[in-house]
Amino acid sequence: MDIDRPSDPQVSVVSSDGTMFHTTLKSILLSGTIKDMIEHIGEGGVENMGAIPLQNVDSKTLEIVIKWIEHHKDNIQPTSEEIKDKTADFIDPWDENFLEMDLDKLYNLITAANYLNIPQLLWLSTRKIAMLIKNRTPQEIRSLFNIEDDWTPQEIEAVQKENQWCEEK
Amino acid sequence: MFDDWNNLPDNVTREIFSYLNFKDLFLNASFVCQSWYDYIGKSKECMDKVRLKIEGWHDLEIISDILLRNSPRIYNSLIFYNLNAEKKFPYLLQRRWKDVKLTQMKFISAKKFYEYLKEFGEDLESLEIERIVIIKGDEMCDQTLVLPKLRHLKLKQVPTSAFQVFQRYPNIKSLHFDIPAFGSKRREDITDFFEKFRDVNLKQLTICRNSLYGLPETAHKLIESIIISMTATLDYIELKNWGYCHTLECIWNAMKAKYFSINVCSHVPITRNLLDLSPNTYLKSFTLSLLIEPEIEWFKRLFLLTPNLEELKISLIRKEVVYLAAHYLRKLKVLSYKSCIIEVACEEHELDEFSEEEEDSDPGSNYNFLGPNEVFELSKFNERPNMVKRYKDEKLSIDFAYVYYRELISRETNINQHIRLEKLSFDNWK
Repeated sequence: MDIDRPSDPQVSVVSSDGTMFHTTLKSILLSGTIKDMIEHIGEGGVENMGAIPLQNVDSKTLEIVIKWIEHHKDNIQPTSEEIKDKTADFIDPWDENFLEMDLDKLYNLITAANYLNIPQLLWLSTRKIAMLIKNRTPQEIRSLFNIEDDWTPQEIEAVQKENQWCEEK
Repeated sequence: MFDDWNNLPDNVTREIFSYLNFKDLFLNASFVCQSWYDYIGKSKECMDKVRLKIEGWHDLEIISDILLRNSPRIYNSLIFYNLNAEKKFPYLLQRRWKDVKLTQMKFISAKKFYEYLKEFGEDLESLEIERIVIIKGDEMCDQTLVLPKLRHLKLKQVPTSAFQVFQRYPNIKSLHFDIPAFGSKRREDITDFFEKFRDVNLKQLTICRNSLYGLPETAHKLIESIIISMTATLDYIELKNWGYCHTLECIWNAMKAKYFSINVCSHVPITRNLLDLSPNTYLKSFTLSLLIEPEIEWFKRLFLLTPNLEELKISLIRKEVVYLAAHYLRKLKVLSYKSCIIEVACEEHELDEFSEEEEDSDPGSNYNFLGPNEVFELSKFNERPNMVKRYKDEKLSIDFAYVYYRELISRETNINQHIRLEKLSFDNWK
């Protein structure tokens, strides 16, 4: 962390379970939510500002988020459209590796990225979920996400019939 | 945690589903559970990937009376095949459609054509019409379609008498237009139609000139001048069967498009004229069809003309020169395109030559210009279309495939309608 650099002062954040984390202003500004808070305080207020409480993010998740923002604080991330246009090869290998986590952690990361308004992290993590859904059968998807099958055979048949008149646009 | 999808914020669910294609959404994810089915069916982004396909009166009755009344899906896109245009389907038309495509339909007159389209309402954002017939083409229609939200219009193999029902659409961004080749009873309808689009802020333009001889020279000049007036705002320009060199030069020099595709007739000396063009720094992707005799100077000139080019595709060049072209492209070490594709046109018996090469244990040995470590594999097309074998090494990735075709190249015919390609692709060229 660049705590000695006056242009990039240290900022503290506190998770919902009371754990404090320290990071740099440059990193934390990747979060739109915190950026709005800091802008509200005004110029010069960062040094005097206390730890920022993040009620919706637990310590395990916040640690992961901070690891990501510190890695990406100096590089410009692709936009949502650019991510969607590219193949899997396009994703930064570091990010691919970073997102190798169990589904519970990924779920928490997604909700944290959404709450903290970190668009690039949200796009990457939701894309990861989408890639898990891709090319899987309904039963495989249900098993993966522990979703209950609430269809009756008649209802399935009705949707299949409906699909006969559907085509890719 | 992830078993509780319902607690995910709506924007997150939307983001996840936005990465899925039609097959993932409608053949798999929709069947996972009822809440997923409902979500997908009500999501505009998901429903933008599907359209209802109605192929006949029987389909129409089922869809209109049964399916649409009960389904929670909010369809916004329709395609009609071969329907009797005189029949009405009131329930279907009560919905607000954003995207409609009509193909292979007959209308008694232009007025009936207008009345039919008018039923879809003023919410249409995209309208495509292909291969329709208007039986009484001489009857005039004095009303025009008001489509204030129209952004995309495609007219392909549509009789000129249909053009009168369209007006100038100020919000249109994409126009695809095939100029009728022959049988046009009122050719002024074509030029009148184009006048409606002069100075419209178009982003995408595709024009297929099906016959160089079907229209008088004055009409061509007028259409060309309108196209040139459009070029400054266009990002995407595709000109098919386009052979007038003067126009090409004017368009090239005026355009700021990132994508430019031109398909010229075989007798037009495009190679010579390219040498006279000005450099274009906007162009990222360039496709040129029917390049007959590429020369090394031509490739050098192309590279200098387009310093920011990322993708180059040269289609329908003769088999005899494809290796020569590849050789020249390879020889120009300065090339740094992301993608470079050469598509070959050849006669059926010539395909055998490629098949014979497949038997060769070292096919690369016949193509020394590729370099000692750069071998390409030749694969015979089988039942799967677009089958491609890929060879990759650190420097070069080559896709090589060939596809069955039906007719010979003829300089006098519309080549695109009659031929499929043998394809040699160079991707990730470094």
